[in-house]
Amino acid sequence: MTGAASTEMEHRAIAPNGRAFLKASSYLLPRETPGEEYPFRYTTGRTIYHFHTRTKTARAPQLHNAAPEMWVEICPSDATKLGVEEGDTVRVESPRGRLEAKARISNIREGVVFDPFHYGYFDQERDDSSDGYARAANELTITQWDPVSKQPVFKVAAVKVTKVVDNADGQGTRAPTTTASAPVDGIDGLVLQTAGGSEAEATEKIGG
Amino acid sequence: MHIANYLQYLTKAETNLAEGFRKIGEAHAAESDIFYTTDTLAKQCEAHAEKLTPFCKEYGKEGTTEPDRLYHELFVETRSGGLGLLRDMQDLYLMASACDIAWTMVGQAAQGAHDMELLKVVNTCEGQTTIQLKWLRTRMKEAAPQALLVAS
Repeated sequence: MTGAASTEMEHRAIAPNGRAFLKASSYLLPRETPGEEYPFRYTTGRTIYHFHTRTKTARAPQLHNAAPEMWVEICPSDATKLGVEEGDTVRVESPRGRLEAKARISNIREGVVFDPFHYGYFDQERDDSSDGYARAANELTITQWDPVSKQPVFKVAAVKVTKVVDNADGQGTRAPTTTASAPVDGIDGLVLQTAGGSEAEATEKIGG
Repeated sequence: MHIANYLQYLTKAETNLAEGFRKIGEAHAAESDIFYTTDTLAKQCEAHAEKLTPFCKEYGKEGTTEPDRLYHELFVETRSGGLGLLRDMQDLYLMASACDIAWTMVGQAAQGAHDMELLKVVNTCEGQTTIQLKWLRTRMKEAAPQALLVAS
């Protein structure tokens, strides 16, 4: 942990004179590391096409179509071990929660599972699962934050991954192909390529 | 020579503080930040006690029961609610203060005895205890207005 708030006297004592200070803190092991029951390292993040929970970006058709639904990224060797192929639906579970989404076989690091955190519930009907919801990445993350900056611990947790159903429609997962979520070589033929299309075209004439 | 007395006092106080952090963290587990931070700090206290153990052996036995009396006075039962959290953290503050001043005393003795190994341990741990106190103060200040003025 980084510590605690400093008093005015402590702050003045270091004579800041307009300078900013970088404070070092000693390394702490992540709260959760992969183990027997939860063998994968779980990390969450963004895709370029959305902002936060998409309350704005999901309403822009081009952005929505570039990344319309939740996905789970795993690497080819982990996918083979799990018997998972591109487009199959997988369940990701941590000690706190679970989600189900289609798998994207990407060039992510071995042993690591990535989920975008953009997909909440504002545009989704409650499903009939026991807890009502199974989509948001933050159902799985730890409810912890830095005591001073309040930065939440969204980047490290431990999860297990299981296959739920085979890819029913034969289509790839609808994750962007233009970013880190791009599919690995060999399966890209299966996948709908992300493109702006005619909707993204624009012309502007200046000066009549 | 009574350095053994303070070493025992500090080791016991750190062990008791670790237990206090755990007990109070679990009692207020609904406050996620309390639960996780107290767990981190409990481990830190346990590491402090462990670092002191070889010096307790080296300087011999001179028993002290004060930290245990303090522990039983402070951590017999935890409280609930906003005010309860504040009071529980205040108890942790008292126990951590006992550790803090004991580190200073052990540091003075280590310097006097030219015990560089012990001094190294003091220099590492003392600062962490100071931060524990500062964290408690920060978190208590944050909780105080709601607990003291709004909650009924």
